[in-house]
Amino acid sequence: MADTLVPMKVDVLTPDALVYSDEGVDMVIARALDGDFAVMKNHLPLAAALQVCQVRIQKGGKEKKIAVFGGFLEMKDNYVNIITPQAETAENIDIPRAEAAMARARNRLAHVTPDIDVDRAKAALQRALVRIQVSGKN
Amino acid sequence: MESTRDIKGRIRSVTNIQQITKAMKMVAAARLRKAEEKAHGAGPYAAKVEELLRYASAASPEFSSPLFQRRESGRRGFLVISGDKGLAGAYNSNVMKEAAAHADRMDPDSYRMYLCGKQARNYLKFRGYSIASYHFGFSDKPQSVHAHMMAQEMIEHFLKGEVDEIHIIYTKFYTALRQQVTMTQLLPIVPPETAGSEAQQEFMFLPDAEAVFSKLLPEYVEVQIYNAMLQSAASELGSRMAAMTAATDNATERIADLTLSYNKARQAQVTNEISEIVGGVNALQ
Repeated sequence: MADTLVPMKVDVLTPDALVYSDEGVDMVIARALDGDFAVMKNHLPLAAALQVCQVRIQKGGKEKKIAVFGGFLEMKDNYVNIITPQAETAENIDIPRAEAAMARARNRLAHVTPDIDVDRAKAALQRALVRIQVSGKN
Repeated sequence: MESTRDIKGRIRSVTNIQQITKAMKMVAAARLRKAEEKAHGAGPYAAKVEELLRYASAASPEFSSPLFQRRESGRRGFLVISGDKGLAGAYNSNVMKEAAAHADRMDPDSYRMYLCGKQARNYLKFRGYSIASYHFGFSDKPQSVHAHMMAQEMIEHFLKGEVDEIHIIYTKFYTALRQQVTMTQLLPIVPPETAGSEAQQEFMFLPDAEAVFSKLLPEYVEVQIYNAMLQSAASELGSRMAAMTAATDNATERIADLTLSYNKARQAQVTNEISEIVGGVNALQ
């Protein structure tokens, strides 16, 4: 059984970098394919398939938001690993670009013509929304 | 004996070549450092994906996916990763020889070649191997989008039954001076071995094991391809650096040899001229 005294550790890992790493975390909130969930200390070993979503990492009353573009969350022995093809922290997000992408995707979805790939536009919209959410502007 | 002028010309051209090889060596060395970092950086991610797959398969051993399916008819696909550019020593030819050797052991109809890199295509096409698909432009700077694209293509061909197995042939990077052509099986996925203690792990899946698996398996394929691409990129640059270092050293040696023969020729010419003058003076007396 996991040692209850071990502080909870979180790593956000992409193929190219360790995007974020912290210890002594209280709670991690993310969105699995079927909806939001949270993990706290001493949670059962868990593996979740994530949506394109924001991951909220709470520590001592503060919250850190990270945009995660799919991937997985694995929790084991108070060690949370978020394994994702792509992740961005608020500092790395290009807000004007995300806003432009959002406008473009909304426009496409509003005027659907046969040559528009609706799924792709929806995915683009979702990515842009998550980016804007994480960067703190609404 | 060559004239001093001819030798001088040759010294000049060797010097020019040396400058080019030296520049290529420096470029390769600088980029190698980055490529090496990237190749090592992808390691933890790949290990984590594999670990997750191991836990997941230990927790639900009954799960099966078409990507695990072994088929008997034995049509093989080879994903060959080579460079776009030459002048990298034996790097490209080693990969291509390995690919050709595997293909030669099979019926021409029973294999498919999927190529990354211009060099592999030029070599294999010239020698009459049939090529199913061909991508280029990222051999020394692969990104995850390229791996994603290749993974989708491989999975699609595998699921459609075009091939029954896919192997990836790439160059594993150890150090700048040591690389090894390696072949590993990509599809069907060989489930990673589970250690005894992990088998008893209780695991919770969100939304469920099947959903996690069906997302995890393509990711696993992609990670393997990406890893192979990064290893190959580092190998290519390492190999190029070594080759260009050798070329620069050879040029230095060549210049020394040519300078020696230049001096000899010059000396002979001077001697010749003196004896002619002395001969002329003697004739006048």
